[in-house]
Amino acid sequence: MDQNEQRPVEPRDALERAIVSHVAGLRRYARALMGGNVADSEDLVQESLARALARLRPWSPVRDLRSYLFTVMHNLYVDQYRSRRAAPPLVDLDNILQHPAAPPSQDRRLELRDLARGIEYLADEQREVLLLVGLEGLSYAEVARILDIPIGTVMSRLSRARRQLRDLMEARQIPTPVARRKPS
Amino acid sequence: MTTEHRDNGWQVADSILHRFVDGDLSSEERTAVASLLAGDADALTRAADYQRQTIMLQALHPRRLEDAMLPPAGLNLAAALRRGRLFRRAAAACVGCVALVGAGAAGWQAQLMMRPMAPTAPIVAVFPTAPMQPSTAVTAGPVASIPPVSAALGALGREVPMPSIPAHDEARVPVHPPNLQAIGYQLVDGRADFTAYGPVIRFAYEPVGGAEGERLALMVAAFGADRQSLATSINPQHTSLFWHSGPLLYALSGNVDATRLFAVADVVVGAGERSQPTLEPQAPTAPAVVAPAPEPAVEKPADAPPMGVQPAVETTERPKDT
Repeated sequence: MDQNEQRPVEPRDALERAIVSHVAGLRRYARALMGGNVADSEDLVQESLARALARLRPWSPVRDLRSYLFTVMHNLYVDQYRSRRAAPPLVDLDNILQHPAAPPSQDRRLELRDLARGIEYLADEQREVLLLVGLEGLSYAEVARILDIPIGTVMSRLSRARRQLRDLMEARQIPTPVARRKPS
Repeated sequence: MTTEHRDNGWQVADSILHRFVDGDLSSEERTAVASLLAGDADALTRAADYQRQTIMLQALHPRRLEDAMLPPAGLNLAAALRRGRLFRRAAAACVGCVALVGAGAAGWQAQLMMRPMAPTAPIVAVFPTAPMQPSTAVTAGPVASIPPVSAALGALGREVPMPSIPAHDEARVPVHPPNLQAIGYQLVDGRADFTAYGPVIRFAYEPVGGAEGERLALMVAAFGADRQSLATSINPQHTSLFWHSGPLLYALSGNVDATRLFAVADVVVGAGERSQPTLEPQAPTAPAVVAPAPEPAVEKPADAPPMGVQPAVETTERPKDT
């Protein structure tokens, strides 16, 4: 019967399939947000999925599932994880680059290390915006919805984050006094 | 406004450069900005730097194939594990309270309660690597990668300490065979192998009675072990379930349906959490002893989309942005 085909089971499956399609992005964002801490980022993803699954209903879909999932993750991060990151942790690049797409050269590896360290030194608000836009490719409007801030704030935080990152990375190219010292 | 006044004259505004880099401009706007950049070397350099930042950011955190390996069944298990964990925590809290009343065991119980719990066990993948044939499900023999029963582990549910597995920071985590008697499986074999991808400990379980059901293979490896390599030693005809908990990677495989495998995995995860306090004292920094995030005392009602038609995201979530 046609009515059997409209049981909530099928929409539920569709909802779960839709959620699964965003899991990779959530994982990547969580890893970046946690500075490569795999255990914490996996905890954050799982908690976010569990919370979203417990609240989403097949018959009451959200307008933008990806934004919704990132919003849940953002709330969890603010509630439970952000306080743990009071001080910038040391960045273990080997941990971050566990499965690189291609083995980076030494120069590129150093650049990536500087970038990773620079991101760690950004303010939380700036880092979140930078990662959502630069890493996940979300639009400014989507980021504004996820973080519940005006688009103008998104743009200003992004601008500050990129400028600060640029300054940090350029500063690391300045030779140290020891390197500039002439041999006697 | 596309330009702003700087000390050295009019320049393309940074905000426009970001929108240009992030593809937030219309095609007409992009064309206009591109022509502006052609005459503004400084703006062009800044735009290139921002573009480079984005490219490097994506290189720093590349998408991994395994990230996407989470089918819908895995979500059910994730929810089940969460429920199971909450139940176990509640039960542990009750036991702890009763024990505290008893004067003799008070100190010991308090020590138990203060021990950190295992971190959440995220599900990595659930997949039968090949379609399971009905005939195979009936006639399949023992799991190919598990050798015949070892007499040394014949006793039902006996906790046999196995060799430890090195964690990330060289701390060593002893691995014990989970007791699956509660779910009708008995331990029939266990051995440790040193493979090309690190030490792997393999346990074999059979249904109690040995008549019905199929044998299960549980493999435990260090967290950093390559999952694909681990998967190659598993019978591709069997349903397999991978997850990691603390410093360990688990693979559970058997010629059973996914629902049954999920139930077994839940028991294994529970056993893993219970066995965490057995971590060797010289390994206090092992990832397995990372305390989990505290459960919120009160769930935020703002997370729940209101029952009704098309709740908008902006009305269902109230992010706490500082």
